[in-house]
Amino acid sequence: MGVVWNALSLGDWLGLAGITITFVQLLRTSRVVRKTRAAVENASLQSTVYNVLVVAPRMGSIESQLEYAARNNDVDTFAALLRSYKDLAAELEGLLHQEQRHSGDARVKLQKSLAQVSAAKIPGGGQSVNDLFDRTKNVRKAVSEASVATVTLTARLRSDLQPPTPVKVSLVRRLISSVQGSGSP
Amino acid sequence: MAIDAGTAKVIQIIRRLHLATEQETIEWEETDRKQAYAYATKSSSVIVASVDNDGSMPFELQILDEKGNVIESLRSHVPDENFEVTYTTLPGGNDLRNLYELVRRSVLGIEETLDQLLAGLPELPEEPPF
Repeated sequence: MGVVWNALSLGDWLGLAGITITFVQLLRTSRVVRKTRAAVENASLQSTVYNVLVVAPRMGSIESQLEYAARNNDVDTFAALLRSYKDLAAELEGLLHQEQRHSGDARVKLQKSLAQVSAAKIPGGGQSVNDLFDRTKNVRKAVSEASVATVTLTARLRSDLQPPTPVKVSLVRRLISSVQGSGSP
Repeated sequence: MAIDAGTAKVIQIIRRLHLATEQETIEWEETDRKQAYAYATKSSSVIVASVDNDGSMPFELQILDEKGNVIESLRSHVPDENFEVTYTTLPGGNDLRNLYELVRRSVLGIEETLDQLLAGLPELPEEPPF
């Protein structure tokens, strides 16, 4: 064994040192990549949560307008609101795709409401009815349940939101100065 | 009649829905359309209905995607040409008819109602052995 070590030239030692340094750098790079990926995923999730928090309150608004239109037998408004609801529910469903932890119940309720909207038979435009409230009880119930599930979900998401991780000022300064090529202040 | 891959998959779904409904592992709901029932998962939903809202054939199954758009549909029967009181059964038609009937009984709680009715009536005398 000693013979082998003695046989190594300076060039061999330098080569070994180079390989070792490269290996260490690879490990450090993979660690940085992992941390960056986690940070991006976290930021993406937070962005989803904020979007859900923005969209969700509109559900409650449409729900109450549907009730009002049904009580007043306003077929045209009711049909227009259902179309708006369908678009909103589809948008929310798209957002919740990325949020898997708490959104299961809300997603099922949204799907139920979308099925009810599709099955609902609203009289054609211009027709007057006097029983819209009774005719639409299932779809209104489904929309109401989806709205409640969304409110519950937003409450949970809000409670899960963490403040952004504070960044050390000295680290930022060092980064800026290294980018600018000047000495540290 | 040759069945395309899409229809074969829908028929497979109908059979599995039938099994799941029989085993009471899924729950259907009434809709505002008469004789139409819906079942939803997290990412899709299914509507099974009597096309003419009269509870008899033809029946229709619609599969909705996560945005509520109909992505597949299947009818059980089509009226015969020039003679609309008879129908031709389409591929999967009998499966769909069976599913519709099972779903209707499940949603309306027909079995429970019949059992309650039976429970309130006297037992029939045992028939003598032959």
